[in-house]
Amino acid sequence: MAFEDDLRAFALGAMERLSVPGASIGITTPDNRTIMPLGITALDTQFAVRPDTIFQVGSISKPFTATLVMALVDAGKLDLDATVVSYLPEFRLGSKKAAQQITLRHLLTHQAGFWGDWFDDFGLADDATERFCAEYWRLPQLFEPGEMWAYNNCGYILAGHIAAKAAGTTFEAAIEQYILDPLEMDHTFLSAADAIAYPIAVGHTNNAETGAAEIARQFRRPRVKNPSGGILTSVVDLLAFAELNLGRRSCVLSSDSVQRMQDPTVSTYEIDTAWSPGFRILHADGTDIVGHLGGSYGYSARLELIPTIGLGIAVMTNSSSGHQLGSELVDWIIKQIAGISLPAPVQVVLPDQDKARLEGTYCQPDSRVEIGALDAGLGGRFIAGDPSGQSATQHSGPSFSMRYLGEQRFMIADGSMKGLQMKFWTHPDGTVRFLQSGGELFVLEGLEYGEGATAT
Amino acid sequence: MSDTDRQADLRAFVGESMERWTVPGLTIGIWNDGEQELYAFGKANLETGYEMAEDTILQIGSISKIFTTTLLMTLVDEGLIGLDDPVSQHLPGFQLTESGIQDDVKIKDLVSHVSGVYGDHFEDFGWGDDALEQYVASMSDLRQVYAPGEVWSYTNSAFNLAGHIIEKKLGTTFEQAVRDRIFEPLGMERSFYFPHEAITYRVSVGHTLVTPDGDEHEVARRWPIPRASGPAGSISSTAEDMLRFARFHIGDGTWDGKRVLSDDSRAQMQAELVEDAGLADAWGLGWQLNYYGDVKAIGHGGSTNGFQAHLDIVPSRAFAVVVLTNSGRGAACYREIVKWIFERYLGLTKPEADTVELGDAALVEFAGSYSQPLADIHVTVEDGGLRLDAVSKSALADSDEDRTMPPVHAMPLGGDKFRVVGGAGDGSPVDFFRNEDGSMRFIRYGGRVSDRVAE
Repeated sequence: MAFEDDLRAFALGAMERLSVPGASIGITTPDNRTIMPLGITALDTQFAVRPDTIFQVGSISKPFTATLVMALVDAGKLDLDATVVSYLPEFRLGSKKAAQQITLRHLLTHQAGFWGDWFDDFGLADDATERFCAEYWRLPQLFEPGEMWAYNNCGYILAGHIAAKAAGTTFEAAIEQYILDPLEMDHTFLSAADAIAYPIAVGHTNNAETGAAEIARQFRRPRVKNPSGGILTSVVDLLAFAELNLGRRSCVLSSDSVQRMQDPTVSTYEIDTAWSPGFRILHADGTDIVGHLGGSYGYSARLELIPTIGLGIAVMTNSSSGHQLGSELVDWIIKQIAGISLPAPVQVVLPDQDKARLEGTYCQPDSRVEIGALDAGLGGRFIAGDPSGQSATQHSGPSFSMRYLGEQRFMIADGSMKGLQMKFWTHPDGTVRFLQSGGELFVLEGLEYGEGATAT
Repeated sequence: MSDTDRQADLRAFVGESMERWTVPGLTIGIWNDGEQELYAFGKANLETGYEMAEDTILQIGSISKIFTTTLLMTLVDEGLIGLDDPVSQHLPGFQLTESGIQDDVKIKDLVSHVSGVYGDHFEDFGWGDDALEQYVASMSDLRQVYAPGEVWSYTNSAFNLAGHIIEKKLGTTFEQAVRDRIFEPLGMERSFYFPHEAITYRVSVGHTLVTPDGDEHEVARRWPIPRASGPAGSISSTAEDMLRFARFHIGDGTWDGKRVLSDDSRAQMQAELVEDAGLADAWGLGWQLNYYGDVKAIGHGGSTNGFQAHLDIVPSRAFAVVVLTNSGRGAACYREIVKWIFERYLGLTKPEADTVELGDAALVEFAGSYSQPLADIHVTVEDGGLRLDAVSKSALADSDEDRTMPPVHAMPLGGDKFRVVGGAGDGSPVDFFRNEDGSMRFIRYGGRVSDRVAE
């Protein structure tokens, strides 16, 4: 098996270089499956990763939530174009108007427009998500529903809550009933309490100075995060989920719903990228690549599908630096199997007047980005912590320089965030409105962050 | 370090015992003469083949009750709770059991298994901070099995009630109180209540027998104990951490020069409170007491879905041994191991009471059916003793199917007392209690009373 030997050698080399202790790679095609567990589950135990070893997959939970919603659409219990208030009459947002307009489709395609990175811990009880969603009046509205795309974790939590209500049970029980049981995914869980009786990959972060992997002991996630990032799964199970979304398993969704989950509904700020109800759609080399990234403290994962050829790729790692590994492996596998190369964006010259216009500090409730002029183009740095200075800890990231890609779109050119795209959004009069990075919106300092109450 | 002869003998004995009872894995900690010995045997998980290590985390089950009791005594020290206070004093408006005995049950009754409250109540109220509160509210539906103080019968539910009274008094969660007042002061860094805390460490799964009368073990699921039964039994820990806890109870109530518990309270926990206890010679506050001649040993066992463990301490000899197994039949193994260690390390043995001859006419009085919610026990006369056929349910496993247990033979000791002879439960007491008219009221087997019922 030359392909598998080559993949193994490439993956092990990249894991060594990137200090990733363990990974689990899965590839499914219409003809066969490749399952490749590599490395160790934890630096202290040194247990080998197995095909059934369970990883956290972070935001790959979002396609699960979307699948649950679509299964309930198929069952006639939900309608993607129905408003949130039609299911939750008491629902409130910072903007009263937006609260009446937002639909399930807006939530699943990140078009709802309210601030989506609020994560207060409401504990582990069954009613945590209900109590959390009752506090959404705190969330400022950044843009009108459907106006644009901005990554929205709170939107997925709300969609999960609505799906659970429609299913008449908890979100976790609904995922089990509608997805895990029919697909016989018996190594997929939404709590440490359920996963602990199975082999677990322990998360690792990288030492800030040496880059060496270190065990991350904080495994617990607030229960409200389950619909946006709580799935724990094995590579074997994640391939079953991939096959469902490649239309090869008919027990969960109608083929119409599988199609609708891949419908590129809204363009994002990144080149050739759109979002469907559940997935990111990358248009590359004339082909749609359907996927999702996932990251949680100490873990990174990636799921990619090429439906036109029935290819599915899952990469799970127990490392915060596993995103780079996932990216390199996916590029390598897609090139080997599909002959598709992901195009490198072309740099263009940024006019000087734009340079001055885009400079400034861009803020979120809990972080900010400082953008300044360099000799050639723009540069910047991220600063975590409350920009009002009320937060005790402010953590400043490394400085970076930015390559201009045209259409007010940039790419970080150096450092640990190399390759990350950013886009400036302007009003029709040319004044700057938002900087978008990592899917999130930052507002130019001095401007109102959003309509309605401010999250605390 | 090479083993002494005794350590080599211990390894050989443990190996044989594990083979005899097909126990997948266990750890042992011994504190002797100011020296610590740690051992690991077998596998932590039969499915993955992961090896057991000295620092592997296993469930200690009901040994957790001694933590709850120790925590309670820290509040007694501070004058926040009195051992003789009625339960109702600390939970106004609360109803304990269908009979409403909250005024008649004292705090100390809760941690010495004499409250009379039905004990095997493991209802799951989820993982929220209000789990214990909800559990305690549900106790108004529990049956009052006997009057407070009348009989000793193992009572898990009463410890959960004690845990809730403590958390209410302190204004924190129960688990946080144990962390703040016991785990952290004693440096127990690998002792946890929650799966999400234990999961990043080397942690064992539990195993149960595929069939009750067979020898094959399989991984037991579900793993966790409901949060609401935390005070009764949900700590996971290591042999080394458990030895820290044992050394603390051998000591004077301080650790590293800091006071954790008054020496009076520490000693009071070890004083005999209940003379006739169903799982040991006697009971104190939390602790079970066993007498080896005039030498007193304190200890506690633990049994959850796939784990069985035991801690034994001889305070007068500054000696402790803990055995943590990942088997639902681990008790058969730890009983042999602890017996061997007591004999070889301390020269202590416990002669068994002589069996007596009772004619069939006397034995037939005990025969009949007995019942409690988790078990039905059918008693017949056989070979000069009694045969017990039990059908039981697990309150903690995913499956709630009835399991027909292998028959048990018990021989008479005189009076209404019997002892199991042979098999995994060899040596376990079987006691009967009568109504005033002399007819049978309860059998006490496995530490719990079951009612005599019509055939």
